[in-house]
Amino acid sequence: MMETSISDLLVFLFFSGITLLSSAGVVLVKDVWHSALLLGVALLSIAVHYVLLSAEFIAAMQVLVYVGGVLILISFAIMLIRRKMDPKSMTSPSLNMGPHLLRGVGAIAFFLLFSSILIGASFVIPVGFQDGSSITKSIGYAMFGLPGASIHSENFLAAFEIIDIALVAALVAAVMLARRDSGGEN
Amino acid sequence: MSDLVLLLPQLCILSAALLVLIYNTIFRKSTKLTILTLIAVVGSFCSIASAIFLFISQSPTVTIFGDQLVVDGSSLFFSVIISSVTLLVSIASYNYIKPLQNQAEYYSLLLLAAAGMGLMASANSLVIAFVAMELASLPSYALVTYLKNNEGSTESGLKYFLIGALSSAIFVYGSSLIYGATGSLGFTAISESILNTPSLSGLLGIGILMVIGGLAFKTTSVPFHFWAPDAYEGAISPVSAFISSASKAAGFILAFRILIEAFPLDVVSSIGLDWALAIQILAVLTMTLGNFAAALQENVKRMLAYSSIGHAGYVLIGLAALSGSQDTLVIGASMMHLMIYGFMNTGAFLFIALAEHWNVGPTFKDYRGLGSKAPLVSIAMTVFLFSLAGLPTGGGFLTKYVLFMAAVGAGFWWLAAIGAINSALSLYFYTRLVKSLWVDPPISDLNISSKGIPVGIYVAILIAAVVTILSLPFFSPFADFAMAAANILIS
Amino acid sequence: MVPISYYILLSAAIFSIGLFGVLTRRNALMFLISIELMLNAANLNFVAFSTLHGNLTGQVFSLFILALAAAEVAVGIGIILVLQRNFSGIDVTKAVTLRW
Repeated sequence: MMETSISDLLVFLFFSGITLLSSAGVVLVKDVWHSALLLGVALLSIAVHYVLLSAEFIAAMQVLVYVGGVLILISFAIMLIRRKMDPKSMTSPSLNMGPHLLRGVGAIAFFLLFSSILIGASFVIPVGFQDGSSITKSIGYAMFGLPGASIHSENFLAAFEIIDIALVAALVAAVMLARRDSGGEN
Repeated sequence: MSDLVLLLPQLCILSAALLVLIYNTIFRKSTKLTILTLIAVVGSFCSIASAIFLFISQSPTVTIFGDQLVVDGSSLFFSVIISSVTLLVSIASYNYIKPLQNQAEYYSLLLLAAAGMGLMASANSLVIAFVAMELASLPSYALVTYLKNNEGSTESGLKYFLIGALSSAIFVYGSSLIYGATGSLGFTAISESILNTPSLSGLLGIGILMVIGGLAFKTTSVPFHFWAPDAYEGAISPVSAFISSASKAAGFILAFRILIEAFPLDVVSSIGLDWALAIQILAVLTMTLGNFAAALQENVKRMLAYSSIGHAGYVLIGLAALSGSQDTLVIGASMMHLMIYGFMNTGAFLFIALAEHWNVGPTFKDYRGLGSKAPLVSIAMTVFLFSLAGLPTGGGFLTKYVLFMAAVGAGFWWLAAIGAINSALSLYFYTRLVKSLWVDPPISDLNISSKGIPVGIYVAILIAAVVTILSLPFFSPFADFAMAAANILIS
Repeated sequence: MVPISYYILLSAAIFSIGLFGVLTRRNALMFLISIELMLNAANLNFVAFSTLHGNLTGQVFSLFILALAAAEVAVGIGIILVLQRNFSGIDVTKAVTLRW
């Protein structure tokens, strides 16, 4: 699995191109609605990268939670905020260019710095996962801190319990914020 | 089972939070604020008591849940700080939120955030660090936005949320680079594998810097300090007190733990990554910026917010001076300062809460002559302010003295000198408020007696004042507790 | 399989694009969307490094980040909607009662 075949490389380049173009579109297009849709494309193409990295379960969760949950949430927010549809946004997406982009120079500097360091770094040969081992099953063991996983991982039981509480907190917070007070219960 | 007993300080607060929610669900129509406050007070009091009990009875360091959580002196020390602040804020909130809605949600969010902060103190891996940080942050965002119809509150909530989300994204990206360089997320495992990966030190360096950036948000240090004045000013004062004292303490214990345990200086400096230098720069910038900006403020709450940034800078001296010879003393001094700061800063913000309750305006001028109308709390406020400035009215004098002396002893006299200059400057703006309280002629149309005496806020301020004053003559228990905690952390 | 460093470069590019969006856009929702990009970059790193090291810590942690990102978006949208009610607009620079 360590050899890079030409087809692997082509698949990677193709989907990287989609990821990068759609992410760039997310931050450049004028309309928030178009940004949200492009975010969906970017998230789906990242899910493809997960499959290529033999993380099928994460890919499935990416589609379910991110595309199916977060993106829908953002779409709802956009619809709630823009009650009156701006006729301009019904046309095809247009880029939002201008001098304000100069403020993004910090991000470009970060990328250049990071890639120059990355070129100097030499990674070990990837260990990878053995063909027979069940990754998804091991994720389940890791999450509940049970023995018996075929692939090593840290114990995530405590983090799992804390996430549980964090979700309760997020729920209480969101309900408190979303509720209209003056009308009583609703 | 015995593992869970060790987490009793956090579990007390957590069960109080859930109890508040359950009580509110059952008695939907007749929820009593008194009972909610009582649950919160009992929960945080049990948390303090169990933390002190565990500290006395427990063996030095125990890791539980497969090395993910650690219970040691420093985690218990910070549990005491966080729960004490939660206790004071819960008592004071009773009067403050009485006329407001969503009271049960307020208390449960307050307690959930406190539980998250307590877990931050026990984190022993970047996983727990991130998850607990989110548990502390998510309710805090909502608490700052608590006054939903108030423009200042919602706006500060949005700013707090946006900067918080950005800093947590930076933190998590930094941890991914650390994971890439070392192959693990547990603090001990990271420190063991740093030396095996010299070719990835650049990646590790960026990772450490980004994690420090994420922690700077929680500790209100440069470069993520600028949300603090807005968030503290816009939020209701008990929440400002809570975030500026408890959240800061939790951020600092996490910073101590990550930097000392996962990236010990002697190990990381051998591959050319000296984070102490970065912290020294941040410490100088944070205290100078905080104190200078505080001196320019007209709004009392903003002045306290900037002064709280300045105090974050003082505490950073402890981390910055680590490469010297007195590691235990400097970290211990930082911890002592955070403990005393927790009481005096909470007290000062609760005095602002009292002033807001009486409809006193926001600027220095509006506080004129409050001393003659409400002498008891004004004396308490004077104690807090002088102790914050480093005068011997409270423990703040001794902790600052120990901190600067420890820095000098560790060979960082210049850090101590900058700290001392900043302290002298801080005396100016703290004294300005004291002058407004006592010396300036009172505003005639201010009538505070018609509003009645808010017992909860009074009690909370007086408890904080008594602890602040008593920590001066009875300093050694605080100091011993902090030194024992620091000793375990360093060794 | 392509070399791991390609994935890290890709994720650095996504992270920088997200940061770019944070720095250049003024709409609070755009800010949130850009932060989602940054979190995804971190997740891609975790999954790629998980393969590199042959342990599952990274993969499981990326699941946790996924869940917390969703929770964060829920709270964030709650705050944005409250702001919308007060200011009838979500330009982060328009809300200027306080100094930014």
